[in-house]
Amino acid sequence: MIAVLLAVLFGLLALGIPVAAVLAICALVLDHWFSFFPVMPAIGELIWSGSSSFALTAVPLFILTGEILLNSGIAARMFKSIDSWVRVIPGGMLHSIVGSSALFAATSGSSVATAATIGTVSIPQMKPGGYAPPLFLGTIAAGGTLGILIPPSINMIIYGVLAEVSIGRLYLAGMIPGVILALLFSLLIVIITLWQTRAIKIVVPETSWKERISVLPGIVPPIMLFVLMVGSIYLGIATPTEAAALGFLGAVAMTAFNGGLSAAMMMRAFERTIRTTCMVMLIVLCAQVLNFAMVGVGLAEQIRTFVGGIDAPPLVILICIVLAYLVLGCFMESLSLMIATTPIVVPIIIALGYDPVWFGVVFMILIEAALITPPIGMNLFVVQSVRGEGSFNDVARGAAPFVLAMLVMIGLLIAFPGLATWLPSYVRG
Amino acid sequence: MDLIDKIIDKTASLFARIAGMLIVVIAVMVAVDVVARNTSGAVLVQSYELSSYLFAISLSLGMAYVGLSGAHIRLDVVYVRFPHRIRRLLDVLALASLTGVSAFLFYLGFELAVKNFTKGVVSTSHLAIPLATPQFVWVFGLGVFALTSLLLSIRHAAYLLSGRGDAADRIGSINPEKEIEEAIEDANAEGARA
Repeated sequence: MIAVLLAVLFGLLALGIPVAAVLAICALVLDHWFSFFPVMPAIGELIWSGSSSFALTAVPLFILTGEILLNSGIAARMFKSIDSWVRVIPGGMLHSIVGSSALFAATSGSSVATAATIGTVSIPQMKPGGYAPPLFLGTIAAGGTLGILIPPSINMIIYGVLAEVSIGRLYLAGMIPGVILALLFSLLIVIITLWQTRAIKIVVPETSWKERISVLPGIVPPIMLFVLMVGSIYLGIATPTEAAALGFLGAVAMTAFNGGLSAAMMMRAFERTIRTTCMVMLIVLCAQVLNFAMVGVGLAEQIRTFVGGIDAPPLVILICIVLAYLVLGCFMESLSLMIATTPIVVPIIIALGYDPVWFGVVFMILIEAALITPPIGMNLFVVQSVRGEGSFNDVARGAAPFVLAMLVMIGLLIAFPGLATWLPSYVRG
Repeated sequence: MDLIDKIIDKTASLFARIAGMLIVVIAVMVAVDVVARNTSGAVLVQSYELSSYLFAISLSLGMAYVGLSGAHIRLDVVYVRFPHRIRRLLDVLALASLTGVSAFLFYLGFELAVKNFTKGVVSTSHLAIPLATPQFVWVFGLGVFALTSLLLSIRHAAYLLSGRGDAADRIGSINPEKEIEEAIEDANAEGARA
């Protein structure tokens, strides 16, 4: 039964059938051939409850916030501010990119939006600064992936709903690994910079303390948004969805204050937000139907028994899963990869005795790797398009070392699970 | 034919805009409740329940727009290696499968709404809203989704049969560039303001 499911799933995906339809077809196949009693009649109820999910309401709120923030100019001011502080480190502006990405990630739930935003404000500085394009562009692509690891995160919300774990706990679990991963990126940049002789040519303008202080207010708006979108959850003021609504209104206020709001811009933002939301939600709804069919035919149970019967340490199976995602991530669009496989992989993880919140963080890092591994890596495409010239290979080559940093991070999480689990257990007592 | 196409496109983007406005309404309602709850402990607008309904309606109203703008995610790693003819056949299958899924959702949703209507089911909250009310609006959106998917399939097939392959490819084939182009456009908007 597992073999049939996997064959249908990956066979139809390879043929270019829309991901949502593939998941629905898989559910129908399971229901038709393996079910003792038809589950279909319950599905109307299921898609209604999935569509009217308060937790998932946060998804369009985050996307719309991202669309509106683009018109606020806060990213450019934040970048300038961070740059004046960190560019003295070997690697110069590359650290500004990592730092800005990490801070922007704290207001953005999407990796693509983070890479596009930071890319636009930083790429014009690449040539004047004398940076080697591959590393510069790779840093943007990799830094952007922090968008889904550092809360808020659209991917975490969807994972939380599908795997039935608390989104608030997932957010907390992602914070420390998010900061450590950003530091690993910076460490990697220092090592590469000291190693490359070309780095000597980097032009790092002097900064005065006066300048540093004067641009400091640039980091205030992102921090305020982070407090609204994430802080409010742990102050006990709001649930994750409510926090998303507060963040959205905050972003609207900031953009209006900067004179960036207009009716035409809002209409465009609405259309795009709805298109992305509905595209994602159709896949989520179909994944929930598949989830339900899998439980209905006893497949989830079968997976658990199967995994329990494998005569190998859980760690070995976990490493196999990690490797499988690294390979799949090269070829599949990352969000649909995540949604399509969550119903299958989470029962395995639980059967192995791992914490699904902890795995959520590992999963986010695997998805981040998927975003920067060619041939299909959304962040690579985005950075290349922002650059608008030169070879795509530059970006892919420059991003490759950062996959190594991600693997190190996954290794750290396996060796020290507390990096992800300590904060959630501490905050919730 | 072209007039009908235009009407469909306009309607779908109008619905998408309405769906977007509903998201803003949700944000405002939710924020009012957060403020009210944390200041006076009262729940003013029952945002939890109402915004769930609005979200469902917003989703169903926006679904048609996804198909019309060709935004459904499909994998193209293997697809691009097929010859042209087979790719077009796969496009037919892709559109047909979407039509199937949308019709399926519409049918199940309709059945549910009718059942809740005849049984007079109300929500288990203070508001005691008859569930069929938001569900019928939701089903209306799903109906529009199913109808536009069907029309899109027919239009695609008609183009193919009349030998206008390029026109067919514009609606049917995988175009991974689209999303990226838009991410750039967005990013440029940011650049322009910086």
